[in-house]
Amino acid sequence: MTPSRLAWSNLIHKRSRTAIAAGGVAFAVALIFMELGLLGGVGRTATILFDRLRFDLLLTSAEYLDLSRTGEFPRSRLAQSYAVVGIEGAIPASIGAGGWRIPARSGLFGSTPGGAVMSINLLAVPPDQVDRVFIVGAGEAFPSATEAQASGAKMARLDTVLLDQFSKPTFGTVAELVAWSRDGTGEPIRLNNMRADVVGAFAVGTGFSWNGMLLASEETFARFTGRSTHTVDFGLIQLAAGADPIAIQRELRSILPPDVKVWTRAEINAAERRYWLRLTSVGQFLIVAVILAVAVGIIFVYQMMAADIRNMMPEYATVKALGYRPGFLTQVVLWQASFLALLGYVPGFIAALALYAAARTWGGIPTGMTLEIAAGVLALTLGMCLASGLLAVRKVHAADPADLF
Amino acid sequence: MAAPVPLAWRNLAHDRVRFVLFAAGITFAVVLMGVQLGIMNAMLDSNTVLLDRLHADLVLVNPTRQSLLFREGVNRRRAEQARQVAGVASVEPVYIDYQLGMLRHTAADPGTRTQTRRIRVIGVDPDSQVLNLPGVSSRDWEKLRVTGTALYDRKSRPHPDQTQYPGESVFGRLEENVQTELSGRNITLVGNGFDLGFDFGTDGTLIVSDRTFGEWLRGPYTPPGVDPLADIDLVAVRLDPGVNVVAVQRKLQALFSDHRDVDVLTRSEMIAREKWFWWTNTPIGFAFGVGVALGFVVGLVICYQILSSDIADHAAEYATLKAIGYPNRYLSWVVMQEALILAATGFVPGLFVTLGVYVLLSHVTGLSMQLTVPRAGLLLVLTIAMCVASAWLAVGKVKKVDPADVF
Repeated sequence: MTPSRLAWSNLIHKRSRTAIAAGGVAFAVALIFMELGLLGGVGRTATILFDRLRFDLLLTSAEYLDLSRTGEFPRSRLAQSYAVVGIEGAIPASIGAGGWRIPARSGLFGSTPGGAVMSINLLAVPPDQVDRVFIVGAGEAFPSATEAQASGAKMARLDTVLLDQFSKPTFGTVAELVAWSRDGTGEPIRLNNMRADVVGAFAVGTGFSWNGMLLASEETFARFTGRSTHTVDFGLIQLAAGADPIAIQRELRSILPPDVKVWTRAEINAAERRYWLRLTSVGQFLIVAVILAVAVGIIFVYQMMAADIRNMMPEYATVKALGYRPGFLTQVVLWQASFLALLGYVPGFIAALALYAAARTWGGIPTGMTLEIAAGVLALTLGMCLASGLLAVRKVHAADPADLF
Repeated sequence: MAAPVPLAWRNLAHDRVRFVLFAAGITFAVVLMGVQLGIMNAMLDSNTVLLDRLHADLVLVNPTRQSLLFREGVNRRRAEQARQVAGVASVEPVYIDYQLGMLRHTAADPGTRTQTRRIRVIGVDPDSQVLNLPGVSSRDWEKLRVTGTALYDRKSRPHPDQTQYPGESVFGRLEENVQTELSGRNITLVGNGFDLGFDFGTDGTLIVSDRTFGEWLRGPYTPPGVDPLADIDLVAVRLDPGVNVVAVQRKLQALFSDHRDVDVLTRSEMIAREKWFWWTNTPIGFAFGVGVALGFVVGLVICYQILSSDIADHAAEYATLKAIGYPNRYLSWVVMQEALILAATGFVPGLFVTLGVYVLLSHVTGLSMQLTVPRAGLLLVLTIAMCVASAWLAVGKVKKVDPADVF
């Protein structure tokens, strides 16, 4: 019998014990997955919006810190950008926040009274260029360019907004809110104590920075936030096909005054990730939580493995009494450890996918399984199981068949 | 039946090394839960430090202002009305603005002061003692009477690059006599500073006199002829000594019930409301609550594993006890006792490690992490629940032990 076959038979034979040990490993795996997923969600908080926007280069104020503290720059910088050959579009966008009064409504668990205020982000773009502001297609902000244009036409009317369909459920569903606004049923929707009409939907998602997003024309945005229309937060620079973004970035920097910064997509994403992971408390704390989860996971897996191998001691001693060499036993234990690692990893992985979905739906955290996370945790689990197997193997070698019989 | 020997203790303690390993397993689960709880509380606490420092028994606040972050205020006439109520000793306006205060960088060379950054500005009457700030002497408050001066927060968000800019905040160096601009007008920092700290809404705080607040922040946005201080952000009401707080609260609520433009809250109600806003408006509760829940489950499984392997190891002993005539109830009680011993031996070191992590994290992140007695109590309850639940799951095994199988 090969060592792997024997190890497998051992595990099959004591099913309930194997299930407990594998279940334990699965919990540790799920814990580590969850914390890594949350950390990834923090890093993705800002890029979740940028990923939906169409730009090759991004203009921001020189004082740009992060999405909630963007700073403003004069609108004329956009017109100045067109001087550079190779730039096809320089579209303004601004972002702000408002207080959304939750209207009273009836739901699954009876009616909820209105009055609570939730903060919501407000994104302003030119309504006639919505299809050029967002990337369109399946899984993007708008399913098609015509859809984007139609939605843009709807929100061109003053005091109308589109609601991100992935906003927190507390804000209400798009269909419900659109019907209220159209038919005048239900309480009027109030944003910063002014009446607003929801006329359609788009899709972005939430992160640690906002609970929901509204899209409005620049005039509506100015009315609700009290901001001037002479300044904007972002300039989405779109290049002609074949233009070199780096060369154009250099040229823009040289012709524009120092009150703006010119970013490539990679640069702004890296800056946002750095800001969220390194400089915010939530990022710093989640890094601690990941370290803690890995430490607890390691100790936990060791306890599970050690207990499982201890329980197998009579079998190992018997194998020894039959005359198998120590090397054979070591292999059996390591195979067993690897099998347990895999048996724990698979349910842990599935549980993590469910937890990620829960975090996205109810927590509003953009968690996602990536290849790096999946592979990293697999390597960690295997490594941990093998290491604790090796630690336990010494005991196996010390096992004396004579003690057993 | 009384036990002649402390069986549960002997079962666990006879192998010292294993016992320590077991306790360490529980300890880790306790630390995991404790740290996650601590982080969650620290992030919520940071938003109410200002309210903790408010010297008030009751506060008046606009009902639509679910968080101090918003702008709605209370009309000054309501404060005057509150002053007339019997039992009210003083009524002090507190002005708070998160949006309009832009502080220019405080670098010594004006040429390099290119950056401006939003800062929370609080306006109070310097003589009112409405804010209880230990670092601020009465002479500092006196200096504030000159318009264009501000007290500053020593615990403003630190500059991320502390090796190159040691001791600097994101606003630059904050110290006495530093001159810069607040919302475009000259401001001079005075005094030795106070400690409020940064939170979700702001990176730091300046305290100015109510006059400075009106002229520097609200004035430019107020039409001529209108008092920029007519809308009060938070009205702090202090009562005469010995007066029943709830009775006065009811009286004030009745007074304003027709207008519905004022909420009368005790300070702790106001703190709870502010925390509730951040709890529901950020994923902090979810992100760190999940950590607590997973820590609980992991601890439960560890404890179950320990107890069930103990039962398996001592099957012969348990069977003997059964054969002697001890009932299942007694054996179950032994398992339960073992669980409680594990809870206790895991909890005590776990609490100390948790405290150590709190101190370390407070130092690294600048957010204060507090282990109050109720929070430690919650952690203890979670630990006991975790161990008792696992004992309850493991007890079935000891009941199944059959003396006939052993001999």
